[in-house]
Amino acid sequence: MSRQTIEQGIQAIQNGQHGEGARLLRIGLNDDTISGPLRAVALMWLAETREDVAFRVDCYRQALAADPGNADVQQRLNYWQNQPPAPLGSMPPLSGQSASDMRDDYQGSGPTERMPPMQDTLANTGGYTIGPQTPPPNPQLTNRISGDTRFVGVWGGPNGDGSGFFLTQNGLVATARNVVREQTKVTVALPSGQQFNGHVVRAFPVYDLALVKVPVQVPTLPIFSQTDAIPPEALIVALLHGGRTIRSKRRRTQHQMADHWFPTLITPETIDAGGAPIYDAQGVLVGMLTRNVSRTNNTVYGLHTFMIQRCLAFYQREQATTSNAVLCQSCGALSQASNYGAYYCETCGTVLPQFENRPRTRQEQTASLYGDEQAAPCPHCGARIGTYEDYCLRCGYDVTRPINEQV
Amino acid sequence: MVFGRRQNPRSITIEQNAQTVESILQSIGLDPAQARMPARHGYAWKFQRGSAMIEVYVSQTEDREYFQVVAPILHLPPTHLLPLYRRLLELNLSLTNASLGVYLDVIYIFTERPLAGLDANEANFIISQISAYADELDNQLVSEFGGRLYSQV
Repeated sequence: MSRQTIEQGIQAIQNGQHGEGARLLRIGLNDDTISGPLRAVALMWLAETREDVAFRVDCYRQALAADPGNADVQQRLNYWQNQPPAPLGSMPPLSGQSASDMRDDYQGSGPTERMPPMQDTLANTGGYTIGPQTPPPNPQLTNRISGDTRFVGVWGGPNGDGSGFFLTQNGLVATARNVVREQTKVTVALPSGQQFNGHVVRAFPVYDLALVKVPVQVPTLPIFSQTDAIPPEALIVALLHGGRTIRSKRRRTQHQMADHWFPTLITPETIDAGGAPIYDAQGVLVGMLTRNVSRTNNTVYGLHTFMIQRCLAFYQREQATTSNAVLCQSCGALSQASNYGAYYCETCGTVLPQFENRPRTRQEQTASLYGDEQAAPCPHCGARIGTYEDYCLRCGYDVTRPINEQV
Repeated sequence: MVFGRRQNPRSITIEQNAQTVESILQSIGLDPAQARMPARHGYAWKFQRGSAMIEVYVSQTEDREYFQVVAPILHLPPTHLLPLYRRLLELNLSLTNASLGVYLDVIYIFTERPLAGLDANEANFIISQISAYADELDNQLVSEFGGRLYSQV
């Protein structure tokens, strides 16, 4: 029974349902009769469900205790013990290696007690390659890069090629949301000609910002502006992918706008899909170019660095405080709904990708995820969804008026 | 007339179009006299298509005359309104010549066009289209989100 639960857990992880997979694995691991290589395999899969280093190290230690001769576990443990504690993201897939290729590796080189075949789930992984069939982390796979790192190309998005820049040394790239839209995978190209698979890990559509994770170690980052203002007429330089440079100025305007936007004199016809870093005359990174245009003239706006860093900090906090969250492709938020078996993103209500083509039935137990049980009951219909401008969000009843005054 | 719009006295055009609608209802096997329902201004009919209730109005708003087909689909469920409202908006984008809306606690599927130029073929097409949408969507939405079919328990 426990063995079957572990199989189901692995299957869930292979399908991208990390929360459910981790839950099943924990249930299976509660059975003390699960020991030796099988226990080690389960713990190795469990390690793949979270990104924080301490958790992985702990899993691998337990796995090694269960199967001391397992060189694979030892190699993973050695790798992760040498990593900084900050979240590093999922391991990159090996280039040219598909999930089905790795299936053979898993069976061939895995622990002596092997799990039954799971051909169906592997066929549905869509190239998602985390899991013990992924070779152990190899420092060489986290590529050290050199040369110009002030900008990158972000290719393969639906609106054409865009640009971006590194935000963190562990390979987090900022680009415009307009570049990636609902896509989760793009190609990140360095000025040196190196190209990497990038995974969109978070997006902030309201700021036209997307964060893309690339398996690289960046030696130097740009100097980020410490001020939240760019003086009118100040010189700005946008570095677009391919090395194209646009010299312009911050446009002077009387128009009141949110602090995080600043106007430029750059026209949308002269730029790519967006995301280019904008530097000032001293080479300090002051913002990111977007394709959002002014209402009164044909020039684009930049997103200020302070907001980009604020979004980065928000994402890092989310990473530290949530587990097994998945990116909602519609709104860019991290959704934990699938941890509870719920179909819809709790931020925007869209159907999560793993449930898109499955029959969906009514779920009473997930109502609290969507704020349906947080407000006082409507005096008219009893719904606890809350109100907007004093009107019940379900029935439109004006909650400020006595019920006998309304029809 | 639906959703509380202001109305003016009926005109000849309205009566002519009301006759057209009655002949259409007859042609699809309905008894117009039985389907007729009271309307303060203009004409209205109500009939069942599959699981859906269809209401047809020939009416006037200020100086413009309209042909409207409305199908109340279901009473909103008390929970999961965020994903449900989103779904309705997504469906709105995919429907042809029809839209979904919420009035009080009921979801409607709705279409409207000016009476001018309306002929029997087009009226028939509109009624059939709304009926088909309503019949398809009501069960689909209820099974996924709950709530209850309009006027059913």
